[in-house]
Amino acid sequence: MRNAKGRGPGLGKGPQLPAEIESVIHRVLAAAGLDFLDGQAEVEEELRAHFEDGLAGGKSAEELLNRFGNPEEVGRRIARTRPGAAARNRGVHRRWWMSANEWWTELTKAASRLRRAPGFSLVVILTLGLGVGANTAIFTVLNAVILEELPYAEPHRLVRVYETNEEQPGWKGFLRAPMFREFREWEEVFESMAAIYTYREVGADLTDGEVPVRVTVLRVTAGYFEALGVTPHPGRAFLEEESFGPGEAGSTRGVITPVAIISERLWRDHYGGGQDIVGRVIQLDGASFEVVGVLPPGFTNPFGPQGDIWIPQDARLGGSNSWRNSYLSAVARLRDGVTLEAARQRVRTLATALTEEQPEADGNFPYLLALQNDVVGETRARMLWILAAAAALVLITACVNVANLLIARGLGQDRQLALRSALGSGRLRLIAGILTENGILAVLGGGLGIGMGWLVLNGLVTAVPNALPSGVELEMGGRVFAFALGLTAAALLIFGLTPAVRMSRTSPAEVLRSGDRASTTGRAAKRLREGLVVAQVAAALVLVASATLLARSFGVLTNVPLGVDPEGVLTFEVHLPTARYPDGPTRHAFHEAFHERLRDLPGVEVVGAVSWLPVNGRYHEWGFGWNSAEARADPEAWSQSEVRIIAGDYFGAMGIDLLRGRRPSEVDFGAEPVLWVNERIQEQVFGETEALGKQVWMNGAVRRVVGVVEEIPWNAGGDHLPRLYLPHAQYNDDRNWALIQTIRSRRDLNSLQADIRRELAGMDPQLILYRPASYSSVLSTLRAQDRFATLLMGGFAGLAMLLSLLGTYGVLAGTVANRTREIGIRMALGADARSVRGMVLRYAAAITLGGVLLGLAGVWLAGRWVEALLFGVEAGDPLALVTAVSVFVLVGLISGWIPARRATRVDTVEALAAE
Amino acid sequence: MLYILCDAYAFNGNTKEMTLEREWMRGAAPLAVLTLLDRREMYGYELVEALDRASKGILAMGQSTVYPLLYNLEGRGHVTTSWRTSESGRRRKYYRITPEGVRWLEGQRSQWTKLVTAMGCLGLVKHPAAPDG
Repeated sequence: MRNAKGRGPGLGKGPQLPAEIESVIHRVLAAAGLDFLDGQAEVEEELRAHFEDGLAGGKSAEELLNRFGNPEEVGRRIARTRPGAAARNRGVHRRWWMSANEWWTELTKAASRLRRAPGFSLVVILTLGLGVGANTAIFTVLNAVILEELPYAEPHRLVRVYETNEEQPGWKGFLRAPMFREFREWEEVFESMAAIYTYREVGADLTDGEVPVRVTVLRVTAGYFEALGVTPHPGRAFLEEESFGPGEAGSTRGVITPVAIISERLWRDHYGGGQDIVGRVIQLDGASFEVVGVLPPGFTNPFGPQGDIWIPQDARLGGSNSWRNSYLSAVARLRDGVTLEAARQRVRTLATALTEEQPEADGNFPYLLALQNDVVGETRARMLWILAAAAALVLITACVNVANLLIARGLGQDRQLALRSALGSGRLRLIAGILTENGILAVLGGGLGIGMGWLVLNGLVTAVPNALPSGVELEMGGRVFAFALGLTAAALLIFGLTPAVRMSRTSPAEVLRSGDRASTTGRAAKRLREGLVVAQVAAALVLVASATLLARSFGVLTNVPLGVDPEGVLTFEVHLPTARYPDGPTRHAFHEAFHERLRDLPGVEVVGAVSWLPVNGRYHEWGFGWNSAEARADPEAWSQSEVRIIAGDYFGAMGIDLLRGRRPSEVDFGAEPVLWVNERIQEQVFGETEALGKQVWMNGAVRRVVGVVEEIPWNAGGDHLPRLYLPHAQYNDDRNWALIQTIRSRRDLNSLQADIRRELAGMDPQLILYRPASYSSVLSTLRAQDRFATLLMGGFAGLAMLLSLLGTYGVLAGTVANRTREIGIRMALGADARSVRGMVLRYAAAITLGGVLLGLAGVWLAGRWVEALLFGVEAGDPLALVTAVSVFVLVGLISGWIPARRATRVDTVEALAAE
Repeated sequence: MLYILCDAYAFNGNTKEMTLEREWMRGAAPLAVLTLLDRREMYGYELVEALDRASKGILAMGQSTVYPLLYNLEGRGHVTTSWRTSESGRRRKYYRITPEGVRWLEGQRSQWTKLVTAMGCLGLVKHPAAPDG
């Protein structure tokens, strides 16, 4: 059908024909009623060619037209040569199925109908877009965090291994090295098991280049990469003997063989990606390590920080690897065919045998958790599912509005449908016709929803950057689009089909007889709309109540007294490479001199440093003997405490109150070893006896308590632990402490940071000001997940409330419009404006009340679920419930007010005359 | 073939302006069109003119009706089409008879021959067949 040049029909219109010929061609085409699938353009071109040839052959237009025949007759004959066109032209579709041509025609007709009702179309598309957008956003997060499989081989076989016991159900402890080695032998359950050193100070300086680079170094046992199913290339993984022997272990931080495996990123960025990397010797904090392998690109640790360099953990027994030292995080691959449940049962049996053989195992057994669940975290997973449920409720409220609009529009089309039905169109064909219109709306609404979802996500990630687990990349891939599409299709089917089926049941005779008066289908539709609005108010109430609960919980959380004053505190790290700062005194001297310089900076008030920031999680729990005289002999005289190493005036910098005793600046560190304790140690360990002045035994030395300080929680929830503070001045040789500097200042922290950088460069140009952040932002990060949930739930609730307000208003306004005549009669019979207004408002109240009651039942159900996310607030919090109910009373009043006012303005004479 | 039709018309003794009755036309027109296309491929206007000329105006139906007829033949697979640009630069749709069309035409031809023979025997056809003009 194409010419040699490949030009298709309809492209070459040729010269303009006389108007009368153009008119005849137009009449033929109009009578044929073809669309582009029927080849309309081709027919038109052929007719034009016919006349052009005629004119070129010397015939006049009149002559040609005389011989042409009746245009309408020809049009109808042409239509008969095209399948479906003739039947379509009659407007009667007896077949339930439609050909592609008919679908296309139906589609173009539906599109033009929608174009003629722009207000309706816009509102439906926007409403659907909001509902789909909310769901797309939350599904994207859900997909990335929960549904996406971990990037390891056969991830379903991977488990995180903790220690636990019967006495403390739910307790998940780190593994002791001897226990880890026992578990590792259970080959009938585990194909492989490996451990990572659970440690937060993972920074080290890579000093083999011109400028030192701060990198993250992780210690893992041999078998770690094999368990995850990851193979280094080039190079190899760690060898068995590099972790397990022979010989005895020393400290937890020693290595048997100084070898290292590096990330692909470090290899590429720092070492230029050369093949000579394997065998190369690199310097970590001044110590030499030989690179034995490079990990594949994109490798991420399942837990803990993301690493640049991995070195083998010494897992031999002895030394620090005793039954008293719990510090390993283990990951295992279950033997092929062993289910998680079977593994859990089997390890209990094996552990019982172990305890009989080895009493120091304390009766502990492995707690196995699917690695995926461990990575996501129980609370986070629950939060995401709750948010997903909330988004689904938003979609339902949106769909109710859409369904209501469709029903209202459908009522207007009843006569037309009745006519088509009377002419013989099948019910399924009528439904298909209606669904085509809905389909256009759904596709546009779904598209808009995907866009909105993307915007919402970007906004959230910007507003709450740390709410998601590290390494999680949010992207809208095929699965998200498929979800959005499926959701829209489902919404279309459920909420579009109901009105469609209802309309297709229209009894033609009744509708045609009833003229413009409300038919029984109208009354049924009204009841349906009322029911939908009641459900909608209920769904929105559940959301508003949940959002209020989360907001209250977040409010309580942010108001937990932390005992620190975070405003105006800048924190950052300065790591001193062991190569150039080889011993404790040298490093301490640096900190002293550095603090001296910082104190002289304009606006700086107090300068201090600490080994781990407060409220930022548990860290360094050591034992100490509270009665120094008996401590070594009497196990009862031992107690457990968190330990912090401090320098400068740390208490002053953080605003921690010294309750009794001396400030660090008032202590002569040369006189005797000292420490400070918190109130909890005073209460729990010393009780009524004054702790100040007492001597305690710690890490091989007797130390005197020189001060008691206010207790500071270890988490944002305000939980406390015993804690003692050791001065870096006296405790600096144990290890190269990566102290976090804490600077209290009156100045803008950004400009202060620039000054500090200059001072640091003045002391040692190779040092890095690492991870600078205000302490307020550190705290804010800790609450990111709660803020994420609160923001999103608040947004969903607001949306649902707005939608239900519109939904209720729509139904009330429609009812008032339908009852104009009745209201007119009432007013003619003497009803005053007040009673008419009351009538409408009572109706509004009835609908809202129904929704509120149903919603309260929903709140009760949802409360049990949401409770796990709440902090300091009960799920049945009366304030939250009263707030939610009040909001909806207000919604009912607002949505009823305008229709009520309209009702009082009904012109009695006009309303009656209209009849 | 067309000469038979010319005779059929002449048998009625009417003037040249007269055309065949509708029912006759319905049966004859596809045969006429395929007969012309059996000689060579043609485009719409060319075919209309040829039909008019070859049938001495008897088959000069409303010219436009040839198009639905052609579309119908195309739908039945008796003709194929191709768009080409002539030397004058005008694009035209050319129709060509297919082997299936040829077979169908042959079948119809024998039917008509039998019919005319039978009518001749009955004395309905007065004149012997004349060559096509």
